[in-house]
Amino acid sequence: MDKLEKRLKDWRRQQLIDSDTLQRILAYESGRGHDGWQWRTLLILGLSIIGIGTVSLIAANWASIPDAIKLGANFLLLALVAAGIYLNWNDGGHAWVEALIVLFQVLCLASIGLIAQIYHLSGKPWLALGYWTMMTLPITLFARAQPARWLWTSLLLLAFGMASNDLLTLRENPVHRFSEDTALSAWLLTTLFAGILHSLSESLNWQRFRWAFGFAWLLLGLGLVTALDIIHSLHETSPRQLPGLSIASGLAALLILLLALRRDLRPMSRVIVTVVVLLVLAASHPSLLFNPGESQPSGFEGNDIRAAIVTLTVLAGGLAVSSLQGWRWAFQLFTLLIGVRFYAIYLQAFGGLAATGIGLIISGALIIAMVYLWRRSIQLFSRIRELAR
Amino acid sequence: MKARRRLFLAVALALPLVMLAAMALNHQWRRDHGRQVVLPIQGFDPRDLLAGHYLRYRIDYGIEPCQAQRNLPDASICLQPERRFSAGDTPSDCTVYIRGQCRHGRFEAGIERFYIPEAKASELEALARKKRATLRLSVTADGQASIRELLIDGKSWRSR
Repeated sequence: MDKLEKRLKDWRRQQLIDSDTLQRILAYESGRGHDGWQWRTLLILGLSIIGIGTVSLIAANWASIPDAIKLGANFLLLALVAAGIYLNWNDGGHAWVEALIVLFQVLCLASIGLIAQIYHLSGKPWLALGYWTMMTLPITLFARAQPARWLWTSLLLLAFGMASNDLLTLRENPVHRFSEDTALSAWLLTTLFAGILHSLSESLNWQRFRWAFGFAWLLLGLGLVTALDIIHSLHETSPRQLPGLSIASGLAALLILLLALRRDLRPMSRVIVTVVVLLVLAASHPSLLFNPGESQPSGFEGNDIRAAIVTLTVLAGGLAVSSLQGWRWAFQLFTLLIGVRFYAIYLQAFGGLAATGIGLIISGALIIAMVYLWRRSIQLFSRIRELAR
Repeated sequence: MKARRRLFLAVALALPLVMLAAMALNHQWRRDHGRQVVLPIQGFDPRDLLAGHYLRYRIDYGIEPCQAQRNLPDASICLQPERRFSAGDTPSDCTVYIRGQCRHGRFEAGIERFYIPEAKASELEALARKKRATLRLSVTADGQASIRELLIDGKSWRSR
């Protein structure tokens, strides 16, 4: 509120708004304070913890209570929460209803756990999560606050990742239960799936899921780039092709098509994101950018400069898109990550400390030069525009 | 418009209840309508975050299934008239069989967990290790198996 007030007064001083408008905005904002975001968030947190507590209570397995009573009590609790949502529902949205929706989602998950316990089911966890996402999608669409959608999105992507890993493992013929190649491939597929969902939510105007899918895509993508960087830096690339790379190529093609159709992105942003997707896909291939099976360096020192170049190119792409789209927080995040990666280059000490030092100084100078030229070009363009008028 | 929205809300809230009830009823029906089979097990005791402690075991089918060094998405074990393993389609002369998958050299039919109370976990695990545990299963005509009870020395574990 203080920040807003300060900004409004600044706008008033600059004569952008009149004093009546300033007073009306302040009155409106102070009226909203009772149902503010702090109260809403803490309420959702409290009810989520109650939901998790219920999961734990069910997991304790009350074997002495007959199954029918356990199931009956569970359905009664679900019905009571559902009635609470229904009776308190209004089109303006209410903190209690939002919190009850999150509780209802968690209780649905707990119910699957209870049924699995009673009937001793040992199916795949992703099947249970997939079933949960299907049953809770409609009520999630009714939620206005972000937590319900973020919970739903997280579990959908978790189910997709687990299913990818499981099905790829089953399709392959490994002796071991866990394979790094399969896990990496599942991660790649999940990242592409999140990108497709985000692009679909933008294209089809699913406003309520836009943020959750977009953030998940960003987070999964950054995690994937980090994993690929570490693997390639340490020369741990497997000489054999990742399982599911052809499926990943298909998903990447679909994602690129959806990106091309997006109107919310500037043309240059679309091109950059497409290049980044293709670069990450190429980096996932065992032999396109790297030489698999090279000897491993000793200790923790990774010394393959190509891994750092791929990561920095991806991050620079993210930085450029953030700048073009005006996403300030993303711009700051990518700037921070580029700084962190340059610092990591120093730790990796390519070709000795002196060479690394010179390389870093040149890189830093290049970044400053780029910023200077960028600002100069903006000033130049605005002067040309003024002259044209 | 508002009434229609409330109707959609009611449907959205009822859907999970209906789907959960269908899930429970489906498993109840399978458990009640299959042929009963008793098989010995050997096990240990891990924990599931969602559903609690369970006994995980290897079921002794009396034969060695999944000998090939590869995963099979479709496999079955014939229990009657004779015990044998089949990859792919189940032989037509088999009257009681369990369908499953070969994963990492093990036959999995979705009956490899028995949920138990935390307090009983170590005792039941020790008894399973001593080969005193058996499972009473219910097997439907299409080869779907579900667990009816865990038996220790032929009696329900609850009676101990």
